[in-house]
Amino acid sequence: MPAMVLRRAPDRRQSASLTGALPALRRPVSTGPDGAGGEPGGRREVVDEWADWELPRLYFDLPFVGMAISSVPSRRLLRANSEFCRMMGYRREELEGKSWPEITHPDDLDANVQQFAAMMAGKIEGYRLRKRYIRADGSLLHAELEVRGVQSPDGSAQYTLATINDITERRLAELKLMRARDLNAMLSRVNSAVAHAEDERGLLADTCRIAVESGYFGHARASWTLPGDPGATVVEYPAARANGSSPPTEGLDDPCTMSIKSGNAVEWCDLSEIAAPGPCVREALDRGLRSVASEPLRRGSSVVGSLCLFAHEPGFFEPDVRATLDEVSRSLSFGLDSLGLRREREQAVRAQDEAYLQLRAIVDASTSAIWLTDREGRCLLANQRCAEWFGMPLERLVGRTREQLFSPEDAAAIAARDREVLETGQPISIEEHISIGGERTVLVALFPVRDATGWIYAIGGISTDISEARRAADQIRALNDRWRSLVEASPAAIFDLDVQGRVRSVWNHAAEELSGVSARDAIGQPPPMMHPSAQTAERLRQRALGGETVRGVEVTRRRLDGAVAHVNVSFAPLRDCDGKVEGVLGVLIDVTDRVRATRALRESEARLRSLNMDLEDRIIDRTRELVLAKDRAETADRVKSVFLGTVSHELRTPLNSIIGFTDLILSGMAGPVTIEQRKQLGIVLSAGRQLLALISDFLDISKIEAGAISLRIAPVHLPGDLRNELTVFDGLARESGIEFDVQASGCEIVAAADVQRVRQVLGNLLSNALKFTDSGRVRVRFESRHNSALVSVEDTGIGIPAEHLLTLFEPFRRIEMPGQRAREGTGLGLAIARRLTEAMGGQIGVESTPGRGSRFWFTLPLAGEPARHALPADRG
Amino acid sequence: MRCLLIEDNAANAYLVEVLLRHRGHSVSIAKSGTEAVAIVRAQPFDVILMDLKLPDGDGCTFVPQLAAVAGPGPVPVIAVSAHALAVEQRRALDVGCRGFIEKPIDVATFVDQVEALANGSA
Repeated sequence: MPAMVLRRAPDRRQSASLTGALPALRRPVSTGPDGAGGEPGGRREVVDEWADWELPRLYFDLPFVGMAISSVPSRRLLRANSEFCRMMGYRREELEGKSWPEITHPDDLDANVQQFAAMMAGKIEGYRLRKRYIRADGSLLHAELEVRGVQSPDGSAQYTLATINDITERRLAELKLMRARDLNAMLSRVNSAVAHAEDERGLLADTCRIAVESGYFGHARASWTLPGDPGATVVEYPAARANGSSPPTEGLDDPCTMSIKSGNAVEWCDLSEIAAPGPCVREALDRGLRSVASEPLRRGSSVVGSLCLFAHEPGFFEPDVRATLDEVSRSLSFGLDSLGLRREREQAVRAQDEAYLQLRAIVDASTSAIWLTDREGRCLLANQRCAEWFGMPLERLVGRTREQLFSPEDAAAIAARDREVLETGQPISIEEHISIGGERTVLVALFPVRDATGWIYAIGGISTDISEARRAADQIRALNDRWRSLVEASPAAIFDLDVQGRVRSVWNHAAEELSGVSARDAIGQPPPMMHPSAQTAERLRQRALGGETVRGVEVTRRRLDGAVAHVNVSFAPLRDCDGKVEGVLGVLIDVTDRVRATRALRESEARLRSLNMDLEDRIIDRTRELVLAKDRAETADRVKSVFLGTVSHELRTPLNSIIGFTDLILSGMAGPVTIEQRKQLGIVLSAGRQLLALISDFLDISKIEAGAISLRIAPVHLPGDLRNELTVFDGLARESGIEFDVQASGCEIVAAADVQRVRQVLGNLLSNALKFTDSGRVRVRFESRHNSALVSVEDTGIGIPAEHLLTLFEPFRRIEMPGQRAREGTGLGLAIARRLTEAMGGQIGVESTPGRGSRFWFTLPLAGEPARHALPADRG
Repeated sequence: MRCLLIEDNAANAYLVEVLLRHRGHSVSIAKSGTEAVAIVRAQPFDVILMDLKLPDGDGCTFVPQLAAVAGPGPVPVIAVSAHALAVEQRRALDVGCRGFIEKPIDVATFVDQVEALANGSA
């Protein structure tokens, strides 16, 4: 309670009158030292006596203001006026003698004592103070008092003089007002918490905290049951002292429970008066709490929780407090309700989202294309399959018009369809061929999509690709057709029977012929050839009905014409989709002819068998021949050599006689020969020798080509080792009147070659040169060039046209030159020369000018160490 | 010299016979290898001229037999053949022939060749 300290004499007059009154108390008969202003004596004597003594007493007891005089050392009341006694509810003799701290409210005592001490210390002359006294009945007296200290003139005794005004009513009104303001502030904080609440627990905790923070409540607890949750959310502030919060009990000792159960506010004015307090009340008492009020919290009309506030003061919950608490509980109820609604709404939204996603997943997973277009054919929504068909991502698909997505023809057809749906408002279903990502056969279902008013704002479509199914159906139909024609074309009688043995649907042409009954008459009847008397057939049919396939049982029956027929009967069970036998398929073949043919066949078979054996022998022989042929083929080279040898041998053998005997006769061994005979035998000998040369050449080239030639490579001295050849041709040239010239370099050249073959090549070139040179010169030149020996034969003959130069070295290339006589020769000479040269690792070539002459040359590899001795001087 | 000519071609046998007799040699003729073996078993020869292609087989196959039945010293066998392939000539030498004269023979030098081969290593 704030003390109002009076500073040094702000009010002189009042202060003077008070100090003036005190000596009168102490010295009732004497006049004041100041003489109260120095009035004249006579008349004043009487008045003064009464006034000095009685008047202050009367004044002291006036019922306007409480007054008290206390001793400073003992702080006891020495005098209390009647007004103060009335205020305190004590009789004078009860009150006087009590110390003022004793009757002061303990909470206000400290401030009082401080002021008192300050005054005693002389810091202040007096003080003004508000404080609460404790009345005789224990109730509080709110008082405003002014205190002054006085002392006896000798200073031996000190007193305090207090005037006391009862401001209880005003004070209570003030407190109430303050409380109303504070509670309203609390309410607005709760409202704010309600507005910002995230969840029930938080809101309740906030509310409890706000209530306690208001200063009026020592403890607050709230409980709330969530919809569908059997347990209650319980929060308290401050937190329970031990073992968490004690849940509201079922008993009547718990105000929370009571307000929930009754649905009404519950108020206990003084907890200490409860005879048998429950744990909740005991805990409150432990905290020093004395009163409690519990307000029910509602969801709609049902009570689902409570707000329970404990106050220190007993009887705190006066109507105005209760009214505020009611507001708080309403606000809280609203908040809790809102939270619940918000949660429900959120759950609903979430559920809606989930439902959408689920639906979307189903739509996307569908093997059908599913879409939604607006009235103008613009894609509003499409599923994954659409994207696949169009080969573009969904986001690009959405928003496109049918004209952008389809060919003009398809777009027009689609537009017409959509129009039909819009106009009729009815769904349609069609099968069509369409070209989206390939040709497809699709089953399209179109349906109108309406808004709440029934207006069609979109067209939905589901398109299922039935290309596969259509193809499969076509295939099945084709198969069925094929099966039908197979059955029809079959020479065997084929039919199907139901379980009763009646023809069901199949009765082919052969069946008609076998039975003489048309399909139209047969269907629905037992087949004529299955007459009950045909016991074997009936038994077979029963076995087939049992699930067995019966094959090829031969039975005899009588034909329409009375003849005995042999019939081969087969039955197979026909099963339905579940595998249950629903009939039998019968196949009858008239094998009468076959039975007859069997005998003949057996005879044929015997014949055939012997033929077969014969054939086998022949195959064995042939195989043997083939093996031999294979052997021969495998040794082809050897065979070729043998062949060449044989041909050569067989041609040479008669030539041996021809040439030998001609020679023999010409030699005169057999007797004299005439000139004419000699001439003619000479021709025979020449022709024989020419033939022999031809055979040799032929053999040579064949050998070379067969790779059968063998070379003996050895050092060949040029021209030393060829001297004999050169001598022979020198002679021949002279005979023809042609100059023959051999030129060789200073040192002898040694080539690595087969000397016989070198002679052959050189001889060949020389004989050609002589053959085609009618006059002039033939020159042979031996040189060493770039690690090879070069041998050239130059003539002044007729020459060779350029066009023949390339083919000159091919076999049998003889050049016919107009205006030139034919020359002897096999046509193989140059071909052999080339092959031999190349076989020895050399080359051969020619340059020629028609009419001027030719130059043939060949090279041979040099031997490792060419000899360096000088060439003999003579040149053969 | 006592010559045995093994040759199935009568014309060629006659030619060789004329040439050898003209130079004073005696000539017997066998028309097959088998006949030759029989003759050699019966009488001695100084030289055997043998065609390589005989009606009863390859002349080369008879060379060991002829050598076996000819007694006591070795009798030179000279192959006379129209076989011109080098491989044939080498084969003949490999089985024991002393020489190889190619057909058609050179009338002027044939007997010289035979005498040289027969005497050269006799």
